[in-house]
Amino acid sequence: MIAVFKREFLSYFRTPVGWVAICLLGAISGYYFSGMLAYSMAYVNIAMEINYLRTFFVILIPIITMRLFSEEKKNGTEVLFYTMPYSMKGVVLGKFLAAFALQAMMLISVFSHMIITVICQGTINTATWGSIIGYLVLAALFISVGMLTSALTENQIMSAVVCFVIILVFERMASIAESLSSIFKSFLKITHLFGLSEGSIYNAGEAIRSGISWLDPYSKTSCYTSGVFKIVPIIYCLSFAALFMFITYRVLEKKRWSQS
Amino acid sequence: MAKKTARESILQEKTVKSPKVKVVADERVKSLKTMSFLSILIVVLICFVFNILLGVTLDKTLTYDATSVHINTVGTYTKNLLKNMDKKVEIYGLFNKNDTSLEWHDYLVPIVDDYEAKADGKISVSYIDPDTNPFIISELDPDGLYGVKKNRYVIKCEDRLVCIDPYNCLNYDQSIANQYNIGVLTGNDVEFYFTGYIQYVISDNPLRAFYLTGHGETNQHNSLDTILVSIGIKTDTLDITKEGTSLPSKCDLIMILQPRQDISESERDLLKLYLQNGGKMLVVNDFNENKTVDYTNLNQLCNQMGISLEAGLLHENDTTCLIKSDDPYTSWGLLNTDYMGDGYEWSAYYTSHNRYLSVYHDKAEGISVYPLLTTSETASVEFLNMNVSGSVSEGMYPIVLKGQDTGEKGGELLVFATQSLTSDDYYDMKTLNDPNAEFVRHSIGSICQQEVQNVQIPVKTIPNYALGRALSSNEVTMWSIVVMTIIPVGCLACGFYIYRKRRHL
Repeated sequence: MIAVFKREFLSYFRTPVGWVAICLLGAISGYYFSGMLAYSMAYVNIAMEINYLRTFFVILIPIITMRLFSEEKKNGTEVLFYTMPYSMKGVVLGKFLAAFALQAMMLISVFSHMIITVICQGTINTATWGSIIGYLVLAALFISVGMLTSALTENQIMSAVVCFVIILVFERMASIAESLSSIFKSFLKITHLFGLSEGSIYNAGEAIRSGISWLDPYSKTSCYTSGVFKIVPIIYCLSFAALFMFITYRVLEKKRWSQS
Repeated sequence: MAKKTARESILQEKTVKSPKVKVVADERVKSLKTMSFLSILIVVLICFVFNILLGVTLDKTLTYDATSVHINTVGTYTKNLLKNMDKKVEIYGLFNKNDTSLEWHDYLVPIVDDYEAKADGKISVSYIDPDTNPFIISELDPDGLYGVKKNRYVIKCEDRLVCIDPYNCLNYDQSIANQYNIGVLTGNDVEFYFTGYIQYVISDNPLRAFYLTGHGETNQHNSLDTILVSIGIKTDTLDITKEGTSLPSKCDLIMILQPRQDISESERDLLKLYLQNGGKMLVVNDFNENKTVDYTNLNQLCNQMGISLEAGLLHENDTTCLIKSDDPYTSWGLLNTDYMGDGYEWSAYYTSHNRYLSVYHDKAEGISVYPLLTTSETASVEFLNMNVSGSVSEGMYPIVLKGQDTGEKGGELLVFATQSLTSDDYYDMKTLNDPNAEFVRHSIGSICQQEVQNVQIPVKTIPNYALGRALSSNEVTMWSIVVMTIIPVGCLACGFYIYRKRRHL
């Protein structure tokens, strides 16, 4: 696993991918940070900056993860994984950790902003560190999603597009839940299905909304911005990251026995 | 039968055996496929069930408020209230809980959730968005009496209900607001509001107070509402301008806040009767924008309780009592030493543009007048009409007077010569833990015979993210260049260099 991690992590910096990703996030966060500095009261809240950066997962994660397995397949080097003397789990975990380490390294620009804030006697508090934790667990979840989409296809663009769509769905989960709930309620009202009363229709719609909203990792991790540490969202993100990694492992393992 | 060649035998064997081999391989693949699918299904199920159970059972327990002032956690006073209450309270948030774009969302939702967590099942919190369920407003407030609408909180216990505007719970830095016309949050009184209102809805016999309307009175009394609710007094408005109107059957206090015109004779008579019958009143009337208003009838009403409203402005001459050295009209009102320690925890209170009050020269027998708050001993009075007969020498002047009927009925009148004790303008700059709020609680609580508890709920200070030192425009430009250009371009240059070096490898 360590060998895979080292190879994968270094490969980000042997090609422009890692540098471009860091540059992209640096430029975006720099723009936000300088906006805060230029504000008439120089009101600098790094937690808000990190919160803002979370919206760019939808672009950054597909860039980082699209080549994880797709490229191996395209180059035919994936066969090495099946013939190497260690398990596929190690390969999946190594690649995941490499992408995650890159994502963490991308926060270097945020850390530089924190240093500037301290120099200018600004505030760095628990909310700032909490936001970083929230950012990283969300990143872990989305990297595992990107890894799965990369394992499903040998076309990097296809992998990136699918990953983009999935992250976008996660990001818009609250409004999707709202829309589906409204559609469901309207459907029940129009069709008079099951002969439900207004109250029951509302409750059914709310149940759907709550059910879908429960999946929303963005709202789950928003509490860190205000200095509240919740363990459950961290477990949620990490357990679902583990789930997607397990599915990735199964997808890769399938090739081993389906080709025999 | 012709003898088969070795090659033919092998070929025949292969054709016979190959289907059998294929069958074996298919079955193995099939079982591996099933196993793979089942294992994924099981892990997905475990993942969902585990997270749902964890969320339901341990979400509240595994939540830590890491802010320095425990901004999202209720304090000891509230915990004791929740522990001792014996009624069930419902709190409704009339908005989408996931809508984090609401400015106050992060300051209210976590702490309101904490009420539920600490109440041991006695408080339930639910979020219902009127956009998706419009019936909720008519369900909660069928007659539209409480101003229930979207983006409000409602606290309900049995048939008692209050509606809270979340913006009222937030404190902004007024100096920044005035200077830059932007709102910078400095703290919140969420716990003060919610605990006060919970106290009110569960109280057995809340008192009812009315703001008199129809004379240009100020309607900026949200802060006073909350202060009164915290001592179990619920407010409403009252219009008695129409002749023949009677007072409500349950009317424990009538308040006249900053009237811009005098009351009519019929109103005066009605209110006089109310005081004679043991009613309680509060009159707030400073000397600022209403200098030229003639308050003959209101004055006659006050005269009944031994107090006279004069057309003069108090001028503080003691510099130690001045809040701003160049403003003699804004000063510390000093608590009468007779009341020190009688529930009042402060000895000085912010006052501004104080009207000159005096004890009515012809006060009736059985009427006692007490000064609760006074100026220093070296204050003087500036009269609007400089040709006023008589002169008022330098001395101590009352800022708050209490007139009391010592007879059987025991009517009481409080007159505040300043609006700093009651106005939203003042409390917007301060918090509801301010000394002035404490004074109002105790003075009104004493005339209404309400037991006043000192609500020990400190304001939750929001971290100040403003930089400790002001940056010059050159510094801002320099840092902007560093963060927006040097760091990203540096990374890009590294990437480009490495790409150039390795592109042929």
